[in-house]
Amino acid sequence: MDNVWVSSGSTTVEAMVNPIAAACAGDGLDSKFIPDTVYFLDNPGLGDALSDTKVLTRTLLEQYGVESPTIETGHIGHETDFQGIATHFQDAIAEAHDAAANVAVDVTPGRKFMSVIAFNAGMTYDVDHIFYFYLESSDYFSRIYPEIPRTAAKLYDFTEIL
Amino acid sequence: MELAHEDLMLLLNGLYELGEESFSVVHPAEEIGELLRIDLGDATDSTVSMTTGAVTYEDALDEIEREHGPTVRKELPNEAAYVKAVTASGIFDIQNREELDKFITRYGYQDLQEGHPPRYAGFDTNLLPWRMHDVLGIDPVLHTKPGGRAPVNGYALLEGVDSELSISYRYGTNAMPASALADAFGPEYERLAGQPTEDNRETRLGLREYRRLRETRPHDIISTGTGDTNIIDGCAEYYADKPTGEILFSNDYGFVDEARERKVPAVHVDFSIDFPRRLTGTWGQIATLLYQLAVLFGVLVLPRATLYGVWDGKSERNWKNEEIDIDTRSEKLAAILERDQPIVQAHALRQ
Repeated sequence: MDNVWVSSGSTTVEAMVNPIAAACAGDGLDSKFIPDTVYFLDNPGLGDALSDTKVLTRTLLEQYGVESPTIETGHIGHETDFQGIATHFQDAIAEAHDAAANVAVDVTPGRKFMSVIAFNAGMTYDVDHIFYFYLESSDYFSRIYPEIPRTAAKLYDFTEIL
Repeated sequence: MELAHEDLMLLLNGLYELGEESFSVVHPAEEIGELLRIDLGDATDSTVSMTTGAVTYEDALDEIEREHGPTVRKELPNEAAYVKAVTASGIFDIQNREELDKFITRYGYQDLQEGHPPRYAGFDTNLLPWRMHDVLGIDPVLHTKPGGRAPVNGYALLEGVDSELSISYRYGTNAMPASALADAFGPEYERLAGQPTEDNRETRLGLREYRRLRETRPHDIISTGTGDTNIIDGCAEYYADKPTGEILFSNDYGFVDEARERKVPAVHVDFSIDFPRRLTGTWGQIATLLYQLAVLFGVLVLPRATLYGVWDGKSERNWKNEEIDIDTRSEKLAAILERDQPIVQAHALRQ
């Protein structure tokens, strides 16, 4: 556990994978951030999106040289289980800190309240990065990162901006 | 490495990642050299500078003919095909846009829910290679307006056109030896052994478009002979007793006149003679431009990579998938493409 990525869940696979892909490519960053451990958050509304995302994330990280990425999935019974969402982020960050890993929180996917909770956890528990993947146009919503023109997307790190 | 037309964004992103934000697209023949220059900026508004315009390109062809003879010249696209290929990418418009828009508005946009009969578009052989479904903005999948009205509802696929395009299967019978082409244009042309000559590559693009429309769009296949008269007769007869209507597009005034005499609505598509020096387009259009030009010219030289639109061993599957072969001259670019292709493939698998 050197680099940890903590994300939430979304019905859109690309919203979960593309920020990781951009971080691996170092898009907009001073240096690349290639996680070897990734946490997602499942809830009953996501259907197959999360299992597809895990397969794709594994492929992505392997292509960036992570031999056997660890992909953990937290679960909540309902998407408005706010405490459950907060615990997901808190526990994952605490575990990363215990392992002296660099930790990034991704506020891109999921409902707005998930992003808010993720952002708060990132600021409160002093993570290394709080990422947001910005897409210039909704035309690219269903595209995977390598197929999106590089100038149409940018990864922001709120720990540097704010 | 083989990359499909739709995946050429990987190449553009790879070049961009390596700092090649502005690069030349060069033909290996020294008489031609730089065709154009691409500046990758805004994803929807990047610049393409046409360093070699169609008139300058024609001069280069004349020089090639003086030095190497007329057969060698015929291995390269003529200046009109060069303009058409650039038009096909969508970065440069057809000349009579206004007339075409009026024609399409008059005959298209049928309100099917109100009981209007559907309208199908038919293309003459000389338009099929140039992605008219998209350039004209008529494709029902790509260009249906919110509310449901499509410019046309499908395509009339004419068997006579299919036969005329199928001449491109005469591989190797009229192609020059690749070694002779390499002597004239550059060593890259060694790889074109056994591949179709220029005009056959052009018709091969048309055949692919015909089949793509047949595989993916609503259509009627219309039994016709070859030649304008037979094609138009076939169309007129097929639709005479059917509620569906058709409109025909051609780059040949004779074809248009003959169709109108048979009371089939038809319109001429005018291509410009040359293009302005500076054009703008999306990255997607730039990818299409590279694909069209790579097939047409056979070889394009970019920084860090040489693109082969045709190469020894190009298979039916390669044509079907609209693939070009990318010879990466840079290990870094090769590594990026090899890294990204499996990600894109894994993503495509889930869709």
